[in-house]
Amino acid sequence: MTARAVAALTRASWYQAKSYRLSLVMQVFGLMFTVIPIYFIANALQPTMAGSISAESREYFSFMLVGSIALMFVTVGVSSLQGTIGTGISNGYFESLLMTRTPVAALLVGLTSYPLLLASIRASVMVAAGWILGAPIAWSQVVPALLIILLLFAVHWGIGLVGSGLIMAFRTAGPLTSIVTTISIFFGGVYYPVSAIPSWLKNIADATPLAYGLRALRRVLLLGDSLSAVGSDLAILAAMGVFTLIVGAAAFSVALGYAKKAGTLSTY
Amino acid sequence: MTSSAPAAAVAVDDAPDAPVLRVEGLTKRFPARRGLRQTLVHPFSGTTVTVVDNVSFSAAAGEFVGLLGPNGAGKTTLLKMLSTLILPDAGFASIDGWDVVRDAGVVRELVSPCLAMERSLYYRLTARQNLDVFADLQDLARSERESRIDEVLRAVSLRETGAKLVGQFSSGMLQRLLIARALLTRPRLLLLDEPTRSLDPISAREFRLFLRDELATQRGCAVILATHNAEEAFELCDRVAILDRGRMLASGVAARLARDFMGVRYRLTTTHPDHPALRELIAHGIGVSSEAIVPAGSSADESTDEWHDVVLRMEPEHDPAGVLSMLAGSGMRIAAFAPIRPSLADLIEGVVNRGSVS
Repeated sequence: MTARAVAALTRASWYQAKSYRLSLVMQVFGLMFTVIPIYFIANALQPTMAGSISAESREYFSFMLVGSIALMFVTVGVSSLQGTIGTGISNGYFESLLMTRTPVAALLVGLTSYPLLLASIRASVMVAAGWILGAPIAWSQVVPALLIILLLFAVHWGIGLVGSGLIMAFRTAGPLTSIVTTISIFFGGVYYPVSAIPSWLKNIADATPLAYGLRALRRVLLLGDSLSAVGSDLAILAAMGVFTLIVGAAAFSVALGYAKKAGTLSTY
Repeated sequence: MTSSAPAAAVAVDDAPDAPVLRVEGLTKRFPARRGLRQTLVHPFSGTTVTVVDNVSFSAAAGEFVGLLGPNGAGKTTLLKMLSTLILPDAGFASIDGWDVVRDAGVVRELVSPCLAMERSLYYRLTARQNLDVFADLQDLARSERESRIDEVLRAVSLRETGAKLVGQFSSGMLQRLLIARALLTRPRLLLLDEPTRSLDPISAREFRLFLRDELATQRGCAVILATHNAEEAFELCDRVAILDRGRMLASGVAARLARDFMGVRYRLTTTHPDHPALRELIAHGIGVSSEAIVPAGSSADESTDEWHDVVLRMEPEHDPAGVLSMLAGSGMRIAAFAPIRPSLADLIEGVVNRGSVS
């Protein structure tokens, strides 16, 4: 039943998305116009960056490309569920889902599955475009790279659960999404390696999940390293995932109970 | 905390022996909204508003129970508590013995709510696609899914428009689709919040027939119906419960409640709207509509050629046949003498006013 419910919610989101044809096409193929500027900027900065990024990539274009892709999954992980639940509360959709026989966990997965699927398609288009433009992709390592992306997504989905709980209870997640995104951009190594961060800010980078995930992802997808070679980064990322998912599930559960008690599930 | 003392509801008939739904002393309080200053000055001294106050009733298989009351009476909150969407603060509700709080998962398999949530539909999907998604969410067997969707679309007269985008639906069609969505499962208890408010009279009548014939009679589904519609309250509902500001003031058969709270009203059609015999009725405690009473000193016993309606309000102890006989015997020309079905507004107002006094 859980898989059916997840598939049904994904299907519904897909039907909705494809009814806006132009928007859907632009969401995917418009990425070409994102990749090309990255290509030119990265090529211009290649001589400066070459030395500092060598542990993760041979050239700066693919370094930035993978960084942008990973950041996209971080953003989707943190914000997609919050957005769906926020809208669902205001139009009664979320209540109508909660009245069904589907367990809440399956509903949450189902509400996230389409954004995750779309992000995966967008990432594939970006990788393909990057490859066409000369980015060295280790195609044999695509499956391990997908596992790392999934892990990275799970860590941030846990944070998204906390945000969704805040929206259910207080109608706002405050600055949670922007804090996570900003920290990920500045301390996760999206546009420059973590090693370039000043030592007095290193502690923040050490607590940023994207720093571990992105380093592992680049090494696997761009340098062809095996999963065992990036094992220490993955272990830390997995531990962070367990932590955020447990905290997220607990926060969501408490918030749902609070919203049912305060009657705020349907009042925005 | 602000809480009004619960008034004992007037029960005009007996509760069923083996109810599908049992509600006992159900109470819900919501935090009252406060201004920013109050919140900052007294952050922990919030007040509450009681929206459902010690409500008790039950519903048997195949029975229709109407929830009546003015806006803000607590009807929707009550339905949401039975749907497991809102947690009660006190009291108890069970469906087939399963507690709505403790056994919420099981209860969701037994209850099908149809609340006023038109915007919860997927507007960019067709009606059939909407139902298809919810059939999966409700874990409907794959083998019966298509036939069941056909069946519910037919029941709400949407079969021909099943392939149309929901965004192009009228408000009545949206409501019918919500009803179809609620009927997908075969519930033990159906919760309907003003289900026919946007339906045209013919669709509303067909829907009521469907409810009565298929759900209640054939499947023995209990139906709780929040309504402002007199036809539903008087003809569809076996019993009604009247709520006001969260309190249940009365419950029973609507017609009997009307009689007990408002007396029985008769329409007398006569050419003598100012006949002295009518004043004699007043002396016997029978109410006569004021426009028919002739002021003292005016010509009293004069017949006109036109027919006039005079409303007589009688208490249960009065004998309508005797009254008619007395009026006819006094020489009044009478064309018709028939009971008037009270309007829902009159019934609710009558019960609420009585409740306020008590």
